[in-house]
Amino acid sequence: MKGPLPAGPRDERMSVAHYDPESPADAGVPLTLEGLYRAHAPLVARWAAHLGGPTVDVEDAVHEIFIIVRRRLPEFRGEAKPTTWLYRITERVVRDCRRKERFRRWIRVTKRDQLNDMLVGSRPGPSEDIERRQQLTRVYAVLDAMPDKYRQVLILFELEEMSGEDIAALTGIKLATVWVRLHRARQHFRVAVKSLREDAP
Amino acid sequence: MKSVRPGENETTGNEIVDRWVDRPPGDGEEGEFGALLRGAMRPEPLGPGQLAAVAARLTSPPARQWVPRWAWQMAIVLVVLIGGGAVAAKMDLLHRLPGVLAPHKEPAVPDRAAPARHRRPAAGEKDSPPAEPAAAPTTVEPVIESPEAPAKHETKVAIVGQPRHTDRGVSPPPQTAPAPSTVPPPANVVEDSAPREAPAPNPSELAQESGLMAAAIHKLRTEGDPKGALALLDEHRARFATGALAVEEKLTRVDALLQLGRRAEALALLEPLRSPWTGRRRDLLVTRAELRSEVGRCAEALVDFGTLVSDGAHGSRDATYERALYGRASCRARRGERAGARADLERYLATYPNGRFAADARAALRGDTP
Repeated sequence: MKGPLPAGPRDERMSVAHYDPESPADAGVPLTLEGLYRAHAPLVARWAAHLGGPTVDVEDAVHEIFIIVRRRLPEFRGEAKPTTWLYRITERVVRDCRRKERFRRWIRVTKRDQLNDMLVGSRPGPSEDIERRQQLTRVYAVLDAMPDKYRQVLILFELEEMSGEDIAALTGIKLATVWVRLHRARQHFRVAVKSLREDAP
Repeated sequence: MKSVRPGENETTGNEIVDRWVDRPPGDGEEGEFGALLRGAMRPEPLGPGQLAAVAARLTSPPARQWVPRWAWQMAIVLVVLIGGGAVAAKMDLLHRLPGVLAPHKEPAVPDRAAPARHRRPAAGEKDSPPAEPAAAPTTVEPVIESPEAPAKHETKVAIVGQPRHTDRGVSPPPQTAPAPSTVPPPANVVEDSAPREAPAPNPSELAQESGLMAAAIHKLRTEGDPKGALALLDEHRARFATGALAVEEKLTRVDALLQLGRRAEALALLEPLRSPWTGRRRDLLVTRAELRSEVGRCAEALVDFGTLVSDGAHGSRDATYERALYGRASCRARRGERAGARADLERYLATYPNGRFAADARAALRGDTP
């Protein structure tokens, strides 16, 4: 080379923090509660709905997620993209919601009617209500039967229609691991559907 | 198939990964699974009105001062422990359990001082003045060796003898304590005292540690005061050298040192960094590589950069990958590996045409043009 390359890294490159307002994903999104909510609330709601399933109240989950965002924002170190950070919070909140729900069911606090009420997050019309409710219940009965790590990858791949690369980035696992988990999740899914069929009258 | 991203290879080995939800309903078993999963898709679970409602709830001032979750958990645990202990003492429940205090046949005697203590009181203990705790273990030997001794004393041994060292910290080890061979501690005694008295990991210590770390991070990130952050980190290191957040302390220290321009120290901290190169370790690895490159250790830097670039070839091409690719080009150029440097720069520009080093890369390539 004739001209040497610029010597050494510049100071701003040395920071371990990685929030990059110039990158396309973060462009123009101010790191404030309002900015994050405006930019990402619909996405967070979708994650919560898909990860949580019919028994999670999406509105409450989104509220709780952004309460945590408000609280943790001063500590946000920018080592991940804001969307990755939001996903991690969503995952944790939804996991808590599901755990509470399981506990409620275990102690039989949740009556069948209450459960049915919760099954309809977006309140569709009455005609599609029952069908949709049954569909959701069936799918999540299958999904909930598999370990969380497989369930999560299957949901992100099939329901969120994310690429393997994006799933790896979002969840912090290797791409190869994503494929392995997806493969195993599908095996679980197959077995669970078959078992449901056999159990059906 | 709804492709994930144009031009992207969604493959596992030679197998193309197809989404079930893209299969038509009649397309065999997977078509059926796809139909099932499509029914669970909720593209917009919350409408604009619901999102606005959540936003309104968020912007309304909090009704009360926020109390950390761990504080609630600790308070609940304390209430349960103290309440449970008090109730158990009041009802003398443990005395009624078969096998817990076998030799003790006395009827339970209510202990008026019990609720104030964290351990189960004993009937024999109520007569002992609290000012003489050290005297208690001296009664151990004769009582245990003699089954015929008054049950009152046995009770004292069973409950007070072992745990008193850890409980209040006021009782020295009994000088006249019996040798283990002559005084086999009855299993029920250990069982009785251990669950309540064994020192569990002190939650308040962890809370203090995380509080100190949070303060250091706040100082560094929010106040932009790396010196202050380092002072807090030093305090953390002094107080919690082997604490649960020792790794976090180290990482924050690297950030603070970099902000202060103390790169040699930061590099020294990063030297022992080892694989796996996932998550935050990738950021640290690229930082180490840049620091090594800066001080002329290009051979080692190239190894680090190479790890990240090859990882990025299969995985996420994020900002770390971008830095690694450009950094490797820079290192190669310095070592006179022109072809390699050129290839990296071209690859960089192909991947990040508007990247943060794009202008520099173009300038370097122009300079290399014969």
